[in-house]
Amino acid sequence: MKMFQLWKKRTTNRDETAVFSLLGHLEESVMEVLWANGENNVRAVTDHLDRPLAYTTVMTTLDRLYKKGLLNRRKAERAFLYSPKLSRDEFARARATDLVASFLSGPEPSKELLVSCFLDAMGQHDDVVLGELEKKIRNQRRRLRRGGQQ
Amino acid sequence: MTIPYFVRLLCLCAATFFLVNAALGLALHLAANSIIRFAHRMTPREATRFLLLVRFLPLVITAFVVLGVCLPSYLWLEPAATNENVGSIFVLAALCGAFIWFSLLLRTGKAVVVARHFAQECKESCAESKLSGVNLPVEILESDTPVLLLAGVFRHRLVLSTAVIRTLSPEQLISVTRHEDAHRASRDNLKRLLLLLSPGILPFSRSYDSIERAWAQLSEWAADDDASGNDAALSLTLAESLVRVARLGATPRPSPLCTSLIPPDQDLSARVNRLLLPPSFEGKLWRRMGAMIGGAACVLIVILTVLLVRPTLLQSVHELLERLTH
Repeated sequence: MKMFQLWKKRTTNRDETAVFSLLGHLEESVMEVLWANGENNVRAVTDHLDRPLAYTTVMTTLDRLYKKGLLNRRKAERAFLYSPKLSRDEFARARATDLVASFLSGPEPSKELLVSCFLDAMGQHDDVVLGELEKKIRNQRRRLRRGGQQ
Repeated sequence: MTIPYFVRLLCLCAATFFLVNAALGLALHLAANSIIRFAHRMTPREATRFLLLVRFLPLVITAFVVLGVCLPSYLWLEPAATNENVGSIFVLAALCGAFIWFSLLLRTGKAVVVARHFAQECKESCAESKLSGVNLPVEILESDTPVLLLAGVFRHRLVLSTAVIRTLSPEQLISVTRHEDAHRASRDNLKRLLLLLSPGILPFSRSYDSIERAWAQLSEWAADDDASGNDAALSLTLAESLVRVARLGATPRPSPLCTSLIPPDQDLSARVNRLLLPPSFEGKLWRRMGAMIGGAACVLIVILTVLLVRPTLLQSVHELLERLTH
């Protein structure tokens, strides 16, 4: 029985952390609206969204996010007001941690895959940064030449 | 525990060293971010001097307290050739003090051994050469790795890989060698050695990592400024060389007593950006700081003189140390 409780606790924790990396497109949009505008009711969130959506769809999404533990909710007059539990940075950090943790808890090849992907991404990032620096240098040289000619 | 006179003196010095150094180190650790922000308002050369001064300040003050106050008070006022009981806190503080110096010597010894090993490797695998316009001895390493570093604490030499020579144009090569020559002129490798020899708050800890990292970054910027000499075209050539060398891959730094052209733990973008658009600095800041530090040094000297002239003050210090001992 104790073993079962322990297993249940572990799986529950895993589900809680997995929430961060498993958000749908609409859920992400709703979170963005709440991060940008702070505490809001369903109507206000619906108005702030990029695409027109039914009130009930947004209400269901907010309710789902609340049940996932990503939103706070309080009742004001006859409507619920929702606000994010974590800031955007905290959420991004939690999501990254969750992603890395899920890879590291996997078998050896998935760890190697993570490191290899990470190095590839770093290499691509370095390429982009160096490309931008080269462009700046070219522009500066052109400016210098123009200055020298005048 | 009963300890004889001279062992007690050594323990007292070590314990006082640990306690004073820890108190000052903690204060410096807490103020580190403000100090770094302040240093960035100066020119990089001034900022490196300022940061180095701040970094060594706890050590200097602690040495002053141990050698100028604790030692004379013990030698003059403690009855010689007596055995005394000492407290466990005193012994613990003395052990921590001794461990700090042990860790420093270990760290420095390790760095020196690595540096000597690297020098030996260079001697075996590098070809000695001479580059036109470069006053330093040059060692050329046959390798595709981008190696460009200034090695040696007292006898400097420039270690270059063939990959770097192939990649850079003659003007770019001159600009990067001027950069390394600026490091040689400001004795940055010797300063690195002194930083290794300078204690942290606890044994085996790097308590002033942020200050040391800021110093390393600013020393690169200062060398960039010296190499380009405020000339826009030279700055541009140096910036171009940095990016070209970075394109070759990560530049290794085989020893902590070496200066690499592109240190792996520093932001290259910030460095290139400031070469393209040099920032302006507040004037006279360093002079003001110099005056303040000079004033503080004068105050310390006056305190020491007063202590030596008026033995009653030494008596109070001695009583304080007696409390610490027991």
